[in-house]
Amino acid sequence: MLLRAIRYDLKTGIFRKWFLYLAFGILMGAFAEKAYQWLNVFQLKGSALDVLLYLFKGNREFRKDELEGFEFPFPFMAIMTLVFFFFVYYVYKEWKERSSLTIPRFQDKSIWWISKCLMNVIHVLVLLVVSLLFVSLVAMLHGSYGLIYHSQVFELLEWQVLQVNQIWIYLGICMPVTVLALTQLELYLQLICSPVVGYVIILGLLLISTFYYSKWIPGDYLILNRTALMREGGITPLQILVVDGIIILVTLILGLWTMRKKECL
Amino acid sequence: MEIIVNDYTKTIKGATVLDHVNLKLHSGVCYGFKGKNGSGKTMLMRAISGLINPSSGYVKIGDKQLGKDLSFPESIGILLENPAFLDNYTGYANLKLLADIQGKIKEKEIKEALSAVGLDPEDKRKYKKYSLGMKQKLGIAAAVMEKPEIVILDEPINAIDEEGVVLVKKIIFEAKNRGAIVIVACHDKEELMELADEIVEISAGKIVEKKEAV
Repeated sequence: MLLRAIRYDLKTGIFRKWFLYLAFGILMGAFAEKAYQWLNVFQLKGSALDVLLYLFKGNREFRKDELEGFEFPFPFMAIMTLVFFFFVYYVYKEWKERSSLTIPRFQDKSIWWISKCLMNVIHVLVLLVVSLLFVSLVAMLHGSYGLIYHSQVFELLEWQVLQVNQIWIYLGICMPVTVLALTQLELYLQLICSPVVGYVIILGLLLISTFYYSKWIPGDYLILNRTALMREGGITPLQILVVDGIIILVTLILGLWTMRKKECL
Repeated sequence: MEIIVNDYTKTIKGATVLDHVNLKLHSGVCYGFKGKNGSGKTMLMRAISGLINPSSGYVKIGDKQLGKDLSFPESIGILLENPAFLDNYTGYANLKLLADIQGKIKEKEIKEALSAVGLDPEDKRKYKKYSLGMKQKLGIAAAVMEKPEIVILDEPINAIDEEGVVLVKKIIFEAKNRGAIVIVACHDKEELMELADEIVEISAGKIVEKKEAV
């Protein structure tokens, strides 16, 4: 039954939103193009990997003694606003409007919730593939093939990647797992309060992260220069995965507990 | 099969919506729930469907207790108020999506259910283009397509034309004949008398009368 439930959620939650994935890809591509225009000024030929690092490098946190040093990361917030927009109403609507049609067919409210969480895993993987695809496409249009790191791009930004061999741990594991954890939190918030509240809380967390540096705010895990990849003593993959893991586990268990008591009224 | 509602009470935010309800329902019988708006008809349907949890009492489906031995009746079709189908799907695609959850029926049965309620299975119009009556018919088709042992229809003939009402009566009759427990709520007393074998009158969350339909 769980497999059938996931198939249902894939159809209603992911396939039906193909245009949002396309919009996400185009947005990533547009920011990648902008990054290339900037690189062209300095006659640098970055790869798709450089562009991804550049897009998610983020900004320095707000410091009272460096008022002019703070730069609001518009590309980062624009991408994240869309990333967490996909399922703003999904769980809420599925419960509020369609539960009398679907829940008795699932035979178990726990399956309903677990399926939503597993759909979220697939969603994050799709986002990762779409990001890579569109950024790589723009890179190819600029004559850059392959995913190789070029340190001169970041020297220009006065940033440096400290652990080149760990780039993919951050980009391919830590960031997707953080998106997974935050989306699952967003889905859970839809179960216990309103969808808008869930979305606003997630965006609020990200907004706080753009201003403040904390090892405990998951939004910081999506900003690469807060991590050990680009900062001495920054947040490590282990810290990221532990906090994200706790969020995923707690929201999964709380969701199951909430579902037991939840009624289709 | 038998459904037993035993001393079932449901309180929501301090208001008692079902008050010590006792009821026995048997296979092959259509029960008509009668009562004013807010009397508790729909809430009792939700209770039998397992969609709400009791404050006290229980519902048994056969020998299994809802919420204890099983979460929902194993074979049930429900039409409650306005079901939300997917706007950009056709009627058939909407039913297919629901049927695929349990995988009990295939294309043939889905199309038969659509035809039975008077909808064209080949209609390419999307749900958002459906009239109110067509939406209601699709809801009925969704409830009966898997030939469930329990069929619950809340106001099934709302917004349906005369021809459609005849078809709904036929569907209810067929469900009864194959041994299903059918529960129908309807505002129209005459229609209810015609549809149901037994009338269960509900007032303020209590069953005030249970009699044979005449």
